[in-house]
Amino acid sequence: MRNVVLARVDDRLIHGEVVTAWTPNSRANKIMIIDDEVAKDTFNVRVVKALAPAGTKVIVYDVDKAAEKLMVKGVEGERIMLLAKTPTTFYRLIQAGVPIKEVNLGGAGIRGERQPFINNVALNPEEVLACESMQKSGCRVYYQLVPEQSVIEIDDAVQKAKANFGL
Amino acid sequence: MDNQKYRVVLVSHGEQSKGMLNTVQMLLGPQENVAAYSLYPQQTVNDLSAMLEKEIAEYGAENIIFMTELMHGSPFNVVVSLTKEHDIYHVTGTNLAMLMSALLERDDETATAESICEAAIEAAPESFADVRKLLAASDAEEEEDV
Repeated sequence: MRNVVLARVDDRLIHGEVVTAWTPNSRANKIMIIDDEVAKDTFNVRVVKALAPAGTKVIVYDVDKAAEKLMVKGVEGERIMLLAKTPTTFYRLIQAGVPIKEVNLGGAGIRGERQPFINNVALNPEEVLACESMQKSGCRVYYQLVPEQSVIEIDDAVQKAKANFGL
Repeated sequence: MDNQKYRVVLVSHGEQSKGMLNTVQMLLGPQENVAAYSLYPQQTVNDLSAMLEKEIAEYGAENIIFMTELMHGSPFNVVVSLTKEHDIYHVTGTNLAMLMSALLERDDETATAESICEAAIEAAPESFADVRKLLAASDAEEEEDV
């Protein structure tokens, strides 16, 4: 598997916090956006590649392609940040056999069925269950907005959200 | 200076755009055909996008210079997303020196949207410095003169 230094859920994808805080902190030199919709949007793909943060290369894949691309042998010195809009994406990668060890919940806005989960992260029932399943499979899922902030473990929030959604 | 053809639209997180517009008019005098938009925490990027679409509908993308304050910030991303449907002039990293240069260039009769953007960017490199280091370097040079 290639060298993943951070796997982050952030539905704003590449934006201020990721560029000014997480990229230098993780010393990532490649940012892989994993999203089935974004990968299909040629305008969006062109824009995120053209506006790659200094010192990084941006690539955009759908989940299937990402699972395939992550399992090859990496290039020496490569440090990849994975960015997805939803935890479900990372659960799908794990199910596809990509051994992701940690998932950082960073930002997910309220829309559709989503309800507040932790701070600025809101999740829908499917996403809550995806987080729980990832935890059970041995992948640590935690909340942290920026590296300077302390980590919040999600166990309590998962139980509350499950009760709230009647799961 | 009247009837400015090009419209300068500042877009920022919170009040910065409005404050900057206020400050620059303190330095350059009242400015016509300018606007400031803010993204507030309680707003979504779609709210901001809708307001900027209105600007474009009213004034035409070819007549507007968008100036955002932070590359990859949400206001920046909103303006970038407008380029999907429109041909957008957009300068980011805007500080007061850059804004002043853009507005001064705009007063020139031969100014174009491109030349206004260029004026802003040309002002950028000389607009910031660690003054302590600058002074120390100058002191060292003077010693060499002796």
